[in-house]
Amino acid sequence: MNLLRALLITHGELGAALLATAEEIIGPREGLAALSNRGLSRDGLVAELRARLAELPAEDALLLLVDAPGASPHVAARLLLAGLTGEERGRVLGPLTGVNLPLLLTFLNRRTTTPPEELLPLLVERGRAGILM
Amino acid sequence: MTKAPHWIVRVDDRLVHGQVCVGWCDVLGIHRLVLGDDVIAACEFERELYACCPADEQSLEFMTLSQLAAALAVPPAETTLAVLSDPASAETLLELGAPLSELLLGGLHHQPGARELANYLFLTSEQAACLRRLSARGVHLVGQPLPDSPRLDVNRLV
Repeated sequence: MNLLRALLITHGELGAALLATAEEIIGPREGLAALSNRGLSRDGLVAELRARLAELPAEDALLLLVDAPGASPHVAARLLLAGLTGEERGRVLGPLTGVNLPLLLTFLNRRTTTPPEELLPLLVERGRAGILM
Repeated sequence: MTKAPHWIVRVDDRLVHGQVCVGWCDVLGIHRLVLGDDVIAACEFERELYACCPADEQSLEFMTLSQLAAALAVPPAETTLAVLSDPASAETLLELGAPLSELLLGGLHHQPGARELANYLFLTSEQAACLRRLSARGVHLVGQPLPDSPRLDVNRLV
């Protein structure tokens, strides 16, 4: 794998705002994109995801990050994965739900040094650790 | 005065999602949801997809349209939101004998050739024709994505 990219699938402009904020904190990074569910049906969002996946460079992989569990971005991500097979399926990771700034920053800082099987549990841990009472 | 428990029937091409569980049911204190769809009722993967959206205090049941038609014939023990994927499912419910006085159109998103009635409501010619048939059978068609949204009189627009 050359680069682990990330696609934030969210309501409204949340994904784009999270990416812009993360880059304000740690600087510009490559391989990041956001997709809003605004105006898209379930099938329309899945079709958009398929189009994004078709543009994925052959040597790269893609992590899907979504906002709320069970909401339409999560459903669409799972439907996308269910339709993938073989090598293509192996290049898509996630989806992880509840994406927040600590999770995203950890992803950006660790994606090149931490193997995916360790990175995903770390992201979940950091995302949860970002919520305190 | 508290309204007696009743059915709310909503058409939404995203089915059970955030706007339904958080924006509608949580706001109105509705704890029972029904997803009426023959394909989803028969598919474990699809059922599991939607099962993780409702909050802990909300229940989600999966019914075929035939099962839902029978359920709609009886007043529910608690106010219940039934979700359908398209107007054709509502027409099927009527043909199966379900009483349906009002249909909420909560979300039909853009697709090629669809006409925009509101930013959450786009109708293909087939969907518009279906809604006209429902209107002719006395169904009140209301465009309303959220409880606080203006109620759009769709009977006049199709």
